Amino acid sequence: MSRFSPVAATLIAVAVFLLDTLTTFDIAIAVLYVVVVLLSLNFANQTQLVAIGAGCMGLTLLSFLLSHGLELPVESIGRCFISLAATGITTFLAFRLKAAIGILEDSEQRYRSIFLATGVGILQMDFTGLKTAIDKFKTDGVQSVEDIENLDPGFVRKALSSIKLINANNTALNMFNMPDINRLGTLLPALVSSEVERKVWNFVASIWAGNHSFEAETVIRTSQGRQLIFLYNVAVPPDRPTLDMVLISIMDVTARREAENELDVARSQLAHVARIATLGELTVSIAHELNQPLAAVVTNGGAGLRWLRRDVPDLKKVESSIEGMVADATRASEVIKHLRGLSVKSSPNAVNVNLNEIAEETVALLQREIDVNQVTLRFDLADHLPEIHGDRVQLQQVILNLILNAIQAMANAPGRRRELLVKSSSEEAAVVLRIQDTGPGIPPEVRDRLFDPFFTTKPDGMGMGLSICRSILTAHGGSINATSEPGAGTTFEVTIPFIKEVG
Amino acid sequence: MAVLTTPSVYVVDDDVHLREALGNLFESVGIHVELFGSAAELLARPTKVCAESCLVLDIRLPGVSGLDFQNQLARLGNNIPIIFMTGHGDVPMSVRAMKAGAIDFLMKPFRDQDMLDAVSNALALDRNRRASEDELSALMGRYGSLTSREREIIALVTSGLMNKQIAGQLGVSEITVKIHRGHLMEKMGVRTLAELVKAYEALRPGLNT
Repeated sequence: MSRFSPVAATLIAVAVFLLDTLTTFDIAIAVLYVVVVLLSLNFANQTQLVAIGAGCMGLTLLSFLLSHGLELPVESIGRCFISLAATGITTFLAFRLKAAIGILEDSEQRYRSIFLATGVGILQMDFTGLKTAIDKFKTDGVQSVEDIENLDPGFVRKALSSIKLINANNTALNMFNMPDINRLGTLLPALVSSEVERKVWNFVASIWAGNHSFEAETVIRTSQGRQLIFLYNVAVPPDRPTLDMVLISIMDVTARREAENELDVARSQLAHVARIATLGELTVSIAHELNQPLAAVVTNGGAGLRWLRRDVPDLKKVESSIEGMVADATRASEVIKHLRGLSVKSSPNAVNVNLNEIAEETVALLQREIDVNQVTLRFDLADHLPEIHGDRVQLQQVILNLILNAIQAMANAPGRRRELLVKSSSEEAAVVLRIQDTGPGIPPEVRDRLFDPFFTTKPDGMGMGLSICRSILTAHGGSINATSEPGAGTTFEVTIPFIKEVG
Repeated sequence: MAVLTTPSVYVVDDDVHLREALGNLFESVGIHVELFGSAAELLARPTKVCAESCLVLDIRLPGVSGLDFQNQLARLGNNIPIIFMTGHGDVPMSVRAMKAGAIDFLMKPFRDQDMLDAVSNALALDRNRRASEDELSALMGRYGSLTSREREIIALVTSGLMNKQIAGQLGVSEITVKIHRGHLMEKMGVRTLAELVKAYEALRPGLNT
């Protein structure tokens, strides 16, 4: 069109000029220059439009002069004026229109380049089929998405194949490693593996509820078999209730998640090392905890044999000796069980746990340390403490560290009362465990650095204990802090929310 | 106050299970045993011990530790033999205990036979100790019956002086010395000078001269 427009415009301009100059109709033929200006919209820019408009007006005047010479009949002047005004106004309007079109084009261009070049993968999709299917369930009286799951477990697959890919940007094509939109559109349903069908159900539920936005993370297996983790957001424009245009923006968070996982592994390895180091510190206590029941086993065993080997065996005594052995061996295995928990290198395993139980188990392991250092232990554990979601071993490690620190702080300060208070309570949305000692307290200059890695005040300390405690609690969505009054002891306060938010 | 006259073992350990196991063991070989959870409990026991006995003591006791208790008993003049039970890593403490006069120490977990051997040694030792202590206190009693003149003379006789020299030193006649000497030999229950010297040597550490 625009290729022929300059030619057409020129021909029309010439025709109008000839008619205007050579004929003497009583009409304002020059008004037809308006057509020239309008045709020029197709090819001319704003300056050229002004020039063309001015040219047409010039031709109008020229024709007028050529056909009338110096006579100036009033009606001809009027016709000429009308023609000039029409051409002028049209030029002006065309000029404005051109400006508006320019802005629109710029804007369109800008959004196109954003769409194509942005780092976020964008899919423009048509969910009409899915929406219709869901609406049909609704009109059939189905109450919820769970009911659809029961009625038609394969619905998700059907839903996936019913959606159409309209457009995708280059980033999206690169992410999926697809040469073009058609191929991506065809293969898209197959990329959603059966393990992540649950997410699709969640998405169906979101549409069912009429939400305009849905965000989730999912694992995608590319056609090359690579496993990718995508964070995606489905946005339904409010003015498209039929879901004929749904935008899905996708971010590839594989590298980030992998880095996070590596960090988690490193963190849990460090925690393991610190646990082993702490157990090393406790070797004497632990050996004692074990030797005590073992000595009882051997002694009861020896006694049992002697009762048995008497001239008249005392079977009652033999029986009670064996009972003693069984009980003592059970005690020994309890110690081992506690220890194995702490020394086993396992990845964090979150279950529902009661902090009171963990505190009691940990103290059982430290009983010797408490006795030998002549510490008076007091428990003030809340009844019906809500359960928290956490890793038993790691939480035990936190409590072990805090109690051991408290005992050591008090043991190193002779001539003081030695009281250790282990107190639990539930506050608002969290369980709070306080471990309070009557040690010399923490000097203010130390307090700020307490949780820093490698910061220690102990001559043979590694400086990781409290730092690891803090990272464990952070991973549990909780926190730890210390309040201390020099001369009056220290309180460590551990806060863990009842139910950890699902990340 | 009850008076105990059978050989006895006193076990002090804060672990009730081990304590009772030891009680069972000693009972199985017919040794009278009493069990205590702490040193304080043992000290609060009202019975007076008049037969051979020994202590089986955990070296790490809560409150007063085993070693402190050993020192405390020594200060009180109680020489009851002590067998220490020690845990892993308590070697330095064990050495201190032995230096302070413990007669044995057994590393937990110990063999029952080792414990019984240690206890029977300790009881034998205590029996001898008590015998010699009884002998000594008999001697002390005899010595207490001497007159002050006789005590002067016994000191001089056992230092090797002749009757004549003693008479000269004391300014009395040799006859008088002989009579006193005869009396004191009789009172001390000895017949020869050698016996007298031996008895006096045994007494000497307890005399205030």
